[in-house]
Formats: sequence, structure tokens, C-alpha cells
Amino acid sequence: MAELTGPWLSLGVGVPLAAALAARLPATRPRARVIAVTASAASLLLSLATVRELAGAGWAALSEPWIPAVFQATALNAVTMALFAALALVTLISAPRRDSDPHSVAHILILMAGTLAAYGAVSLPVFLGGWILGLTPSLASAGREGNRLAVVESAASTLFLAVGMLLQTSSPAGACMLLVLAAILRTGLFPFHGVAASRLDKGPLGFAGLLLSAQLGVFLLIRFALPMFPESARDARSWLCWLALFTAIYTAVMGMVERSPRRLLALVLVSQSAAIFAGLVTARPEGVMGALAQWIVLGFTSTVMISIFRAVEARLDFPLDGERLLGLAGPMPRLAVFFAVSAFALVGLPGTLGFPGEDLLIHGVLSAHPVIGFLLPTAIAINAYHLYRLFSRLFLGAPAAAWAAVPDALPRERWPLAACLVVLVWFGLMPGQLVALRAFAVEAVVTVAGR
Amino acid sequence: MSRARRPAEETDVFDAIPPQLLLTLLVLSPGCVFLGMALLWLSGVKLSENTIARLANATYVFCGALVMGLAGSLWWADLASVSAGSGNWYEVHEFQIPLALFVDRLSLPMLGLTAGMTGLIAVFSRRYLHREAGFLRFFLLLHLFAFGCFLVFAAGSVDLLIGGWEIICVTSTLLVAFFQQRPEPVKSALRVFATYRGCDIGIVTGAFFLHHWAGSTLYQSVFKGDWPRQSLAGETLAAGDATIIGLLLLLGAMGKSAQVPFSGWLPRAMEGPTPSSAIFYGAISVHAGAYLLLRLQPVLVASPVASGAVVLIGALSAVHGTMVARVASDVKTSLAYSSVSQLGLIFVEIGLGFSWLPLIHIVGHAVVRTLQFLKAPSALHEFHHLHAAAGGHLPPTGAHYGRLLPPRAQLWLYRLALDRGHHDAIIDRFLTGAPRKFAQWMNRIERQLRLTPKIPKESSHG
Amino acid sequence: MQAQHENSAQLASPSEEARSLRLKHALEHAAHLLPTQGPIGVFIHHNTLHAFQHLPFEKAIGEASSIFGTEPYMAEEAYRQCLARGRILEADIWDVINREENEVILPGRLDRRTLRGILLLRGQASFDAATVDWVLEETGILESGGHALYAICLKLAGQDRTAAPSHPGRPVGLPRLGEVDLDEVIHPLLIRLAAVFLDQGVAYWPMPNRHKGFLGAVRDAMAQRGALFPEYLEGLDAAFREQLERGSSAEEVVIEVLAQLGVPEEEWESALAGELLALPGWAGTFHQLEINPGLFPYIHLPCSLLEFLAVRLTLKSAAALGVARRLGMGAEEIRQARNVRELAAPHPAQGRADALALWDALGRLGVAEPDLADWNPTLQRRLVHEIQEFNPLERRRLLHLAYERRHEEDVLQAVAWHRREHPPVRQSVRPFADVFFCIDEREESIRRHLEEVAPEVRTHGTAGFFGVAMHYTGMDDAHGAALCPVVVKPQHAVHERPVSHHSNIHALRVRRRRTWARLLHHTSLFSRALVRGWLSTAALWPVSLFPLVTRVLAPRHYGLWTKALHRVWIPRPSTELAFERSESESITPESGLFRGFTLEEATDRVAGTLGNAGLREGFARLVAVLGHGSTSLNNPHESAHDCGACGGGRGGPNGRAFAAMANSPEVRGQLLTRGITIPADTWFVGGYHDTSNADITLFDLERVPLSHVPDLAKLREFFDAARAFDAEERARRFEAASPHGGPRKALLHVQDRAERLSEPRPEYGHCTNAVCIVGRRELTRGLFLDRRAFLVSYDAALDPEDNALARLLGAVVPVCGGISLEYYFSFVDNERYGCGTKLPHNITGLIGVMNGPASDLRTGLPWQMVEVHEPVRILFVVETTPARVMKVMSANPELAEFLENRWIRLATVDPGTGDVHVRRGDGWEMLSPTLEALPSVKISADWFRGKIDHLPIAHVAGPTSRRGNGRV
Repeated sequence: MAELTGPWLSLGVGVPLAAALAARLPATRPRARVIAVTASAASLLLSLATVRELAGAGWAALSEPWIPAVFQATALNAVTMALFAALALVTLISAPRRDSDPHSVAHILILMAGTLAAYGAVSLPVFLGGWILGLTPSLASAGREGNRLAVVESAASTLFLAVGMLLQTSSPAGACMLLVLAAILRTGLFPFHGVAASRLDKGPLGFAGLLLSAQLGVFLLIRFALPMFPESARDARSWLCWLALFTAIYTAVMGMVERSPRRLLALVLVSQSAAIFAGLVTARPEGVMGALAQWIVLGFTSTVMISIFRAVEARLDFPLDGERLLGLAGPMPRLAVFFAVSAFALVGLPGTLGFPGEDLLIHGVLSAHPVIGFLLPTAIAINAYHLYRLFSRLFLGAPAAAWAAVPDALPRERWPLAACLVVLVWFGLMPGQLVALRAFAVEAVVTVAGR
Repeated sequence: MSRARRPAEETDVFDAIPPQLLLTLLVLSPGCVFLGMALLWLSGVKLSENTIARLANATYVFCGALVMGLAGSLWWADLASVSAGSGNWYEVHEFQIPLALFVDRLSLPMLGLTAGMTGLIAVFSRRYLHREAGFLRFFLLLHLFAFGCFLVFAAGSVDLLIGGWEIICVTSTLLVAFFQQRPEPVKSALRVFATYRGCDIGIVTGAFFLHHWAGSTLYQSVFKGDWPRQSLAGETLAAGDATIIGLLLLLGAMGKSAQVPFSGWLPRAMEGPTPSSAIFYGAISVHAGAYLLLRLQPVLVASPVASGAVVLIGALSAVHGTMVARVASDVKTSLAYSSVSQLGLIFVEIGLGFSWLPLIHIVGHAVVRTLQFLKAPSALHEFHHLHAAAGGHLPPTGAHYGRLLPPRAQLWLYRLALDRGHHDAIIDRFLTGAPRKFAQWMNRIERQLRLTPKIPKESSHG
Repeated sequence: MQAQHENSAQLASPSEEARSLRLKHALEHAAHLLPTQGPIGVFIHHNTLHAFQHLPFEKAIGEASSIFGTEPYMAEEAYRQCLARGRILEADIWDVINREENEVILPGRLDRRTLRGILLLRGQASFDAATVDWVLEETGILESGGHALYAICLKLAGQDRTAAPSHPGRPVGLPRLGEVDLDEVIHPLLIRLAAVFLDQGVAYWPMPNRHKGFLGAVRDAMAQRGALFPEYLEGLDAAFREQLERGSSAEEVVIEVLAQLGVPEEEWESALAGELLALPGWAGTFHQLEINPGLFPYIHLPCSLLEFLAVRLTLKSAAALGVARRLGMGAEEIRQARNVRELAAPHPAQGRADALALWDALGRLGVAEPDLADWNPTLQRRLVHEIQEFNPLERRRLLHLAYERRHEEDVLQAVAWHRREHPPVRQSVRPFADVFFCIDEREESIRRHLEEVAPEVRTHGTAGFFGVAMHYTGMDDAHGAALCPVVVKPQHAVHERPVSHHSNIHALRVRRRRTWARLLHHTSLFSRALVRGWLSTAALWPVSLFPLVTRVLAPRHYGLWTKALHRVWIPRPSTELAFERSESESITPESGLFRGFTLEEATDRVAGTLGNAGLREGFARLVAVLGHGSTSLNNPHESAHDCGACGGGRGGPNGRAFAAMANSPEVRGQLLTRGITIPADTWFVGGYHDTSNADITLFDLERVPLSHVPDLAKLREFFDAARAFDAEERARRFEAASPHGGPRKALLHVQDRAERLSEPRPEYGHCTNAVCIVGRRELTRGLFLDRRAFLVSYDAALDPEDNALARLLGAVVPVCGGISLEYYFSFVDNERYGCGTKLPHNITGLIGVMNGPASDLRTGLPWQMVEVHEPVRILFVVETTPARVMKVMSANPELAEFLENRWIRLATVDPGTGDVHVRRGDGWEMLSPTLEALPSVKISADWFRGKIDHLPIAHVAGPTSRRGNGRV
């Protein structure tokens, strides 16, 4: 197997890990944010370098020069890594000061290192290592907040994953089952949809959002579970798709009685993740392509929305729950526009990547399951309603007079968030480029999973 | 018609500027203006009212000229249609989304109507919205709306049409919530959005099935012949398939065109400024649904069930609309429901298989209704003069109800019309009420099973 | 709480009558708080807070703002900007503060006045609890060494937290149950019912059984079976059916529901007020139409506030039951729900916000951390207390007073200067013409321009009905309308009739107008019908295309074109006014009015107006009497631009009637006996000035004697020139008009505005009104008053008994004061006192406007009418002595209340010496003239051209050569 020209993957994982440690040193504490931003920017550049090399090599897998037994760059993971590094970077830059203490910053960096390690893993044990590393800060904070649900979920999914790995050879069907279960838990398919909601509800928002956009459950499925156990996987595909579709519509419907904006947003994100899940397990080219596109859309839009949410929460110590319209479009027009564009993009706004993404996803799912597939457009329509409702609640209405002095998007918020939207619009106008970029990944998924 | 003797130099004009280019420019220009203005705003440039207004005027004069050029070149070249496409927008294996624009005798009048009306509204709004905080926002949305409409009317395939369709949905919603400081417009906008998106499920899945069964959503591949004498190409679609597609598309059209039982959003949409009411709910947006059905009329023709459903929905809406309009006591609601009734008639005409008639009806209705919306704030002035001119004795209206109906029936019918056929209650209590009930029920169960963390009692401070 | 219930149970036992009386009382009290605007077709300006007029202004607006939840003043930021751009000067702040009570805070170092002065001048930041943490974290406000002081502030700020100020507060009905807003549940239906009931002709199918009153009609319709209700209103039909069966009266319904909702009798007042104030516009309209049924524009209906309340409460009770069913609440819990008031807990960051505000104030006062730490706790606490007492409301109050003081100073100094430099001299030359205008401030500019164009013309200002209070029916009117101030009930009917040899033309006109009306009526109904609508939209639509395009793109030409068409198609006969009555004729039976005026009555009218204006002799050969009004499209508030003195009507007929009376030789004969000599060669011409499209129409020109025809032609030339200059001055406020277009273009521009469907501000109306000057024209002639001053002609020398002054002030103070206050309130809180922006307005039932399809009926003035207003209480400047004006004011209780509670400001100019006195508090102060010179220009245009903001008063010297500069 050909090699990367440099140790991009191990550095990409190592730099954030080192920065996480460095940020907590007493001497560097005041500059924790700078360190973190630098590290994640470096990591992003490294993963972009990987993508470039991979593209140059015709998307054939390239191994890592330093530790080839651990990391490997493939058509599937390179873009995903770049995406995640970008999301982490945006989250770190735009976070308000109160979220930029060494502690929080280190958490995000560790999550980043773990997730990138899991993406780059050559084998299941390495993946497990990255998975566990990424979950450590989550466990720590969930424990502190008394978020028992999240602790149980993390522990259980890790356990399933580990046991599945051990049973790999002895009982392939059981192992497959356990890995799928771990994936379901991590993605938050029914009946585990409450976990992600509780993380976003209680935990640090930026961190919880990144954890969700990592989509490690889905990744586990397409990278390991389906290819490793093609026999069992084929049987599982149909009911996994149904479960995902059910989750999508179920969480969407549950949103109808949700009053807390945070949890409503969480339900919508879970519902959309489930849609991605459904698209991937159809193993049809358009469905998989749609899912991969929506993965990117979900990553960027959730990061933008969560950053804005957090920016609002930092500006206003005001309970966002309840029915009151906050009217923040008055003092914060740019944040309002960013929020609106990303919210609409998530549910298929033409002109953004969301439109082709949803289109492909719906086509894929409907052609695989013409009757039950009808749930997907319905779920998306309901999610669209929820997102618009959320936008109204936060940004429309009459703001309190005293809030007029609150600033609109600061430069550190404006530019990263705008960059996210630019990416979405760019690919939205020219989806062909993304299709070309992800064609080999689709190929990989379709061939391994659809056998 | 023979135009063989046309002078050579005039053909050159149209040869030099191919109609494909005109069409592409037409669709792109409002979109580009929107994008440019939005980027300027984002980067902190403040545009003056004059600049915004001049830009808008220039855009729609340009668009008008393009439509005329398009019409001219079609006429001169004696073409029934022009299509402009640059291959596929994207394709994944066999699944292709072509980027194709298409204009024929059906879409050309709609494009002309859009360009003309949007231009008129832009001129009107320059003064109407003078010094309004949302001046820029209004014009941004107007351009985006025009872009969406051009896309709907000039799309060569249903997929592209859906793109424009969604843009219209978003701009309508944001314009209904234009006066975002008050809660009512915000609530009404949410309702409008929900109705639109709910009904859009129909058009999205309809497009899928068309793709699935007919192999493409490109009009030119699905249909043969020139409008108005189009039919399905080959035996691609079985009657049963056509019925399903037709019904799904009807659902989409019902939402946009405010047909029963979804008409409740139309009066609510009157929260926006008068010119947006005029262009959206008088002129263009409400007719998009009718256009969709007219465009895909061959599918309806192939299925008696779908045609029947269109006629039925149209007829019900026509009667419903006129009844509600008759009891409405405020000018804009009355106009809104009059629109519903005429749209119902347009649906009936389409369902019965007419082609030119509904098209003319659409254009005529747009013109008449727009004028009425623009005159709505002058109703007091006009009534006063009318009343005086009639010598204070306007003939009483609605008296025939008293003559024809027994008092009980009269009251019952009045009550029905006053509550707009109870449609809102039906939707709220059954269509969305049922899943809501389910969600409440499940929520309780989930919490007992600890699948969801307990919701902390909502804090009441602030 | 329980004790309270027992109490109320005991109280409830007395007889039905007592309860009914109590209800009546409570309803009266609540109705008092409702807006007093009637149907919008006849818009009458009045003090928005009329109900609070018995209180001093500052107290009244404070109370009103807590009851209605409104703003009493402009935002502090707005005043700050005024301070920055010199609209308020430092001297004004100190002057205002020095009139307030003083107290020493830090002995030898700081007193209250100094503290307040410094804080007002240097500005004082407020911090909101919700955002203070962001400020502390992200803005680095304390970065430059403020931490130590802030730490002390954090300790001090919390110590002296005074309880929230107690004020009357918002009356509460039963707004919510659980988490459901009951008003939100019932309002859509209630609004629709109220709208169809009061509808005056929009609906094709009017509500059945309206003659039974609101409750009766609603019951009949709503009790129908087989309707599907929104979830919470399930059971409403049963409630109405039950009422029908029992035949309950409105009163019984109200009392029952109040009991059901658990409102004890002693809280009825507040509960009813709360219920009615939830939709003040609709409730107020029901109330106005009940007490004054004459306000119904077309269809008279039995209207009652009590019935409105009964319907409202029936809905509310159904909604409460519906919600209770859903939440599993019992009847007792509904009754308890009212007592659960949400107590607003202080925000956790409130302490930091207070501390930061304190920190900021201390910084501005120059108190440093070491100083503060040195002082003993009492001093510290006193200082903190003083700073915290000086809250935003208090700051706005003082800033507003300073704002008004600057205005007052500017006006009075200018008037004093002008009086000093250009003392009135009795004209010896006979003027070329006398022109009477309305006192309206919009006529100030055209008067000035007329005098600039033709210095030999003299102008006068008198209330625009010219004393001729009449019930007038024009040739084209369906019904007559009162043309006189609202407080006056007209006793005399006057109608316009064709001259006898034109009666055939008149018949043709009537016939054609009827045909036209029928056609128009049908087409407008057609388009809303089904089959006929098909015809008009699918077949006849090209007919609409022409008006659609031209009315948007070339409205003025469309207007000219339709007018031309009208002239050709509908001929106009010559007409005359039937206003004379011989002594023997009496009241017309159907209207109860006198048919016209007797000689004696006519003489009274003429003598009154001329006498009040101080004109007894020396009349010019031509006297024009111009009433005014305003025409515009796209303007439901059209009549708010008409003549206030004509009760929101157009004053042309009054001018015409006045001229006809004054031309009558018999009247002139009678006038002689009253000391008014009208020379035989004087001819009166009535006319009408449209303040929107700037037209001036003169009436009865065919009766003008040949000898006066050339003079009249010349006068019309003057008018044409003046109205063009006037249009230019008006156009300076409109951004759409070219600032350097000159008078001719400006005239076209204002004509265009009046015809434009898209123009929400055809004219600015009374906007910017601020002053009313009662005195001789010489006092103001040559002053550029920027269309901000009502000008009332009055000559104190001819009024030794002050009778004329009493009559004038009795009419002018309430009218101008009402206008000024309505503009004040609609400006300071446009959304709640006014009716917000016009753009989403939707005419309902021809009686008012709503926002969108269903909202409260909006009362007050729209933003587009008030946006350039300066909210100051009107300043009356009367040319007389303080003693004389006080005599008149205190004799009239209404004026005394206005003055003593400071709803108006008052100053006098001594007719003899020119000394200016200002009323302050309970006394008078003499103004010391400080102004050395007023800016002087040749013609007004030199002063205003190219400027859009308010302009200071200037002196207009007049063109050196007659009408030399800036010819039209």
C-alpha cells in the first residue's frame, strides 16, 4: 500500500492531544484559546493535506508512514476528518470567553483527538481506542452534571463495542449485532434518542454538538460493522433502515410538544442524524451520497446553530425556555441571518448543499422502501417546522429595550460562521464537486455494504 | 402560420443572441442581484433607499426586456419552446438531476407576468416602504422571490421547479413575518410555513415517483408534443402510477394555491405589508400551484381519478372561498378568500382538461387581484364616494339569502362561513392534533421509563 | 386568601339591584380608560389621556404608563442625541434642575442638584441584569483599573435595594390559565364577531339579526349546532344555547361569569378594566358608538359595551372551562387561578447590574475608590441611594422638561425680538385683499408665502368653520354632515342646490352618478363573487390592466385623466347654498334642525368671526375666506388631515357660506349696528384650500361683480404663486421630492402624492405642531414659523372685556391642546398610544383599521403621520397680559384644568409694551430678552431650501422688489 508523504494522520491526532495537555499548564492558561485554535487549525491543515494527497492518488487508501499499523487514510475517512477538524476549529474560535477556559478547551481537543483517531483507525481496536479517548471528557462532564443517561449510554456503547470486538471471530453474528447496537446507541436511534437530547440540554453545548456531529456510530457501521460481517449485515440493513426512519419521524413528532429550545434543537439533530443513518444503510448510491452530503450539512449547520445558540446564551442571561419571542433579530441581525440560513439549509434550502443532500437522500430511501420511505420527507417537513419555530422564538418578536446594546456577531463569530455557510452554499450551487469528492467513498460503502 | 418572408437582418438579431442565453440571464439576474445585495449587507455596506430602488427598477426592466426578447425570438424562429441546459447539475450513478431551463407558450406568459408584476410592485414599494426599517429586507426578499418564481416557471424539470418552489416558500414566510416585532405576524408566518412545508411533501414525493416510474422529471422526456397539445411520451406511466403522482402533485398545489382545507393560511398571510400581499397572494405565488398542475396536465389527463380530484378540490374551494369572502368584514380577508374561490375555478378548469382558459384566467386574476390589493387601503375613500354617488342608497347585498333560505339554515350557513368551514379547527384538532396527542402521551411514557431526563420545572424568573 | 373569599361571599348577598348598580359603576370606571376614538371616517383629534386630565401632566402620564404599559416620554437615548446636537443645551438642564428640590448629599461637596446635573450632562449608563455578565466578561469594561471600585460597588449596591415602586399597575382580568393564554384563545373569534357585527358595508352578506344587538346576534349565530370549535372553545355553542334558553340579559351573563371566574365584587372594577383593555380598540369603539350612535357612518346598530363584555366573558368562560378540562382542573381551581400572580423574582445578576451602574455613575461623578472607601457608611449609603433614586424615568422626566424649555426659549425669544424690532403699526393704506385662513398650523406657511408674494395682502387666522356651525349637505353628498367643532351641536341645516336654470343638468348629473355608482358597486362585488368573479377575472381583466399600470407608474396623470373623464361625462351645474331662512320658518321635522340662518343669526356669525379676529373696519376690496381639507388615497386616516374646526370635515362650504352671508346687504346693514363697517365696494369670496394636493378652489365666481373681476384674477395669481412656494416648503420634508426642484416641480410633486396609491404619507398633517399664537398678525408677520404654529387673529385693544378672548381660548385651547397631545402620545409610544406603522393596516367594516387580518382596532395616529414630530406640549402665546389671560382661563373650568395640570404651556406678550411673561408652576416669570438678532432672509425659501429637519425661527424680510426673487 502506498504511503502518505508525511505523518499527517498521527500528527493530526497528536497535535490536539498535546495541546489539550499544554492548555492546562498554569503558564499557558490565559492563552488556552489561542493554543487550542492553533492546534485545531494545524490538525485541519493536516487532514486537508491528506485529502489532497488522496485525491492525487486516485482515492486509493494510503497508509501512515509513522505508524502504519494504526492509521490509514481512505476515501471514506479523509474528508470526514477534515470536516470534523473544521467543525472543532469553528467551535473553538467562536466560543464565548466563558467557554474558553482551559478545562473546556481541553475537553474539545481531547474529543477531537479521539474522534480523528477513530476515523483514521486501521482496525477495530484502534477505533475503540479513539472512541474511548473521545468519550472520556464526555464521561467526566456527564458525571459532573449528573447526566446519568449519558454515562450509561457511553459505558454501554463502549462495552458493546469492546465485546463485539472480542467476539469478532468466535461469533460473527453476535459480534455484528453488538457493533450495530453500539452504533445505534451512539447515533441515538429509537429508543436511545433521549441521550443526545440530554447531552445538549445539560452539557456544554459546543462539546455536545461536536460529539453529535462526529457521527461515530454511523462511521462504525459503514467502516467496520457492515464490511466485516457482510452476511449478517445484509439481513440487518432493512430493519436498520426502518428503525432509522422510525426514529426520524418519532423524534420529529416528539418535537411538537417540546418547549425547551435546546432540547428541540437536539431532537431535530437526532432526527436528521437518523435520516443520514437511513440513507447509508440503503446502500444505494444516491442514498449513500445523500447521506454523506447531509453529514456535511448536519455538521456545519449544527455547528453554526449551536455556536449562535451559545453566543446568545452568553450575551443574555435569560431563560430561553417558554413561549416568549425574544426578538433578537433586532440587536443581532447577522446572527439571525446565519441561524436562518443554516436552519433552512439543514432541511433542504435550495442554494445550499442541503437541497441536493435531502433530494438524494429522499430518492435513495424512497427507492429502497417506496412505502415506508414516505416517512422521511414527512420527518424533514416537521423538522423544518421545528427549526423555523426555533428561529421565530429566538429571533423574531420585540426584544427587551435593554438588549439593544448587545452586540451583533463579533468578528471571531462572524467570519468562521460565514465560512461554514460559504462552504454550504458553494457545494449547494455546485453539488457536482462534492459528488466527485465523495464518489469513491460512496463506491466504498455501496460495494462493502451492498454486497 | 408562415413567416418565411421575414427580413434577413432581423433574424440576425436573434441569431446573435440565442434565446437560451436570454432565458438563463432572465432566471439568474434577480438571483444575482439578491446575492450581491446580501453580500454587501453582510460586509457592512449600507445601501441607500434610492440605490436599492434603482437597482430593483433596472433589474425588472431588464427582465421585462428579456421576456420580450424571448417571446420575440420564439415568434420569429417559429418555435414552440426553447430549452437551455448545461448537462447534469449532479448525477449519482443513474440518478441524474439535469440543469435544464425550458420555456414554452405556457411558461412564457407566466414569466412575463412575474417580471411585470414584480417590477410594478418594486416601483410601488419604493414609496410605500419609504423609511421603513425593513426596506432592504423587503427588496432582498422580493428579488429572491422573483428568482424563485422564474425558477418555477422556467424550470425544465420538476426537480428544478421544486428548488424555486422552496424559495417561494421561504420568502413568503419571511415576508409574512415582515413586521417581526409583533407576535401575530410571527405566529401567522409559522402557520404559513407549516402549511407550505406540509403540502410540499406531496410535490417532493410526487417528483420522486415521476422519476421512478417515468425515468425522468424532465418535461421534454416525460411529455411529447407542444403545449397545449402535450401528452405523456410513450407508455411510460400506467394509469395507477399517474393517479398516485397526480394526487401527490395535487397535494403540493393545494398548499401553494390555498385550496380547501388548507386555505386558512391565506388570510393569515395578510400580516405583511400591502405590496407583498399583492404580489404573493394576489398575483404570483398563489398561482404557482395552478401552474404546476397545468404544467403536468398530461399526467392528470392520464388518470381520471386525479383529474376528478382536482375538479372536486377546485369546486369545493370555489364555493368555500366565495362563501367566506361574502361574510368577511375586512378588506384583505375578503380579497384573500375571493382569490381562493377564483383559484378553485382555475383548478376546475385544469381538471376538466382546458389549457388556454386556465392560463388566461391566471393572468387575468393576477391583474385584477393585484389592483384590488393595492387599492385595499383606499377602501374607505372609495366606499364613501360610491355611497355618495349612489345617493346614499346602495342596493342591499346578501338579501337573497334571506329570501331563499329559512332562517335556521341561514344562520347555520352564516356560522359555517364565518368560521371558514371550521377548516382550521379540523386541521388543528385532527391533522396535527393527533400526532401532538401521541407525542404528549409518549413523552409521559418516556419520562417514566427514564428514556428522557426529567424536565426541570420551568423557571419563572424574568 | 380564604378570608377574602368568605368576605366576598358575605358581600355578595345583598340584593340584585345593588349588584347591578355595582356592575354599572365598575363598567363606567373601566370604560373611562378606553380610547375615545370613534369610527375612523371622521377622525377627531383629542387628548389621548383625556381620562387622566384631572391629574398633573407628569403624574398622569406616569399613572397611565403603568396602567396601559406604555412609555411616558421619549427614550433616554433620544434625549441624549438632542443634547449632543444642541437641541437641548446645558443651560436648559441646569434651569430645569434648579427648579427641583435640593438636598445636601455630601456636605460641602455634593448636593442633589449638582449630582443630577452632572449625571444628566455626562450621561449615565444603565445595565441590564440579563446582559451584564456579557459586558463584564467580554467588553473589558473594568480592565483599566476599575476592579477595586467595582468591588466596593458590589457591596454597596445591594444594601439599599428599595422595594419596587408601588403604582396602580395594570388592571388584570383573567389573562391566563395554567400556561395557556386565554386571550389568545378567544381573540380571533371575538375580533371576527365584533368586526362582522359593526361592519358598515364590506361584507356582502351582513351578519343576520343585528337588530338584536351584539349579544343577540352573536348568540343566534353561535348557538347553531354542528359546528366544530377549536379545542379549548369546545362547549361554547352549548353555553350560548343555554343563555338563549334562559333568555339571560347581558348583565346577568356578566355577573354569572364573573362569579364563575372567581372575581370578588370589590375587584370587579379592575377585572372589567383588564378584560376591556385586552382589546381596547374594539371595546372603545363599542363604547363610543353606544354613547354617540350618530357616529355610525352608514348603518345604525344597537351597540352596547355591556353586551360586548357579555360576549367576551362568555367566550372566556368557555375557554377557561376548556383549558381546565384539558389540564384536569376543577371549578374551584379556575376560581383560584386568578389569585396566582407570578411574582417576578429578581434576576440572579441584578446585583452585578446595579453595581456596574453605580460604578459607572461614580466614575462620571469623579469619585475614586480611595475616596469612597474613606467615607463613613452613612455617607456612602446616602450617595448610593441618591444615585439609585435618579432612575431612568426620573432622568427622562428632567430631560423632557429641558427639551421643552429649549423649544419655549427659542420661540419666545424670537417672538420678543420680532415684537421689539418690528412693533405693530396701524396700517394706513388699504390692503389689496384680506384673506381668512383657518388657524391650522399648516396654513401658516401659505399665509407667509402669500404675504411674501403680495405684501399688500393681509391674512387672518380664525377657526376654519368661520363661526358657521352647520349641518351641511353638498350637492353630491348622500347625507349631511356637521361642519363645526365636535363640541358644538349644529342647529342649522344648509344644503347646496343647483341654480334654478341648471336643474336639468343637475338631474342628468344625479342620473349619471347613480349609473356610475351601480356599475362600480357591481364590479367591486363581482370580483368577490364566484361566477361573476370568473367573468371579471377571466374575461374582463384587460379593463383592470390600464389602471393597474398607470396608477402605479403615473398616478398624477391617471388622476388628471379620470377627472377629465368625469367632467365630460358627469356635468356640473352651477350651485348655490340654501342658507337663508325667514323668521317664520321653523325646524325641519325629520332632522330637528333649523333650515338655514335668519338674518339675525347670519349677522351673529359674521360679526362673531370678524370681531374675534379684530377686524371691524378697513376691509379691502376683496376678502377671501378659505376653508381647508385634504384629499389623499391609500390613507384610512384621510379625515385626520381635514379641518379640526370642522369636526374632521372639509371647511370649503363654511367659507362659502360665510362669504355669502357677508355679501348680503341686509347682513351688512345689521353689522353696522354692531360697530362693524363693511364698505360697499368690499366683496367676499368663499374658497377651499386642499392642504394635500395644494389646490385652491374659489366658489360662486359667477356672482362676483364685474368691478372685482380683475382684482380677483390678480388674487388668484397670488394664490397660485403662494401655493407653489408653499408646496416647495412642504416638499422639503419629503425625501422623494427633489430638494432643488423649485416651486413648480414641488407643486407637481405634492399633487402626485395625493393621487398615489403607494404613498403612506400624502401630507404630514398636524405633525410638528408646537405653538399657538393668539394675537395680531403683526406680531408674527415676517416670522418663519416652520408650519409649527397655529395662528389665531386677535386684537386685545378691541376686546376690553376679554369676551372675544374667552370665546377664542375656549375653542382654541381644547382643540389645539388635543391635537398637540394626541401627537405627543402617538409619538412617544407609537405602538400603544398610536396605531403603529400604516403598512400592515387593514380596513375593517369601514370603521377602523386592524393590523393584518385580525387584531385590535388600532386607534391613535400611525407612525407615518408623526415620525417627524417633536413631542412637546403646545405652547400658547397670547397677546395680552397675564392678568387678563388668567381671568379668562380660570373662568373656564376646562381651560383651568388644562393649564393648572400643565397639559399646555402658556406665555403672554403684552400688547402695549411687548414684554413676554411665561407661566411657570403657579406663577408668572418675565422673560429677559437675550436674543440679539434673528437670522434674516429675503424670502422663506432662502431659509428652508434643501433642508429637511426642523428649522429655527427666522425673520423673513420680504423680497426687495415685489415678488422679485424665485418667481414661479
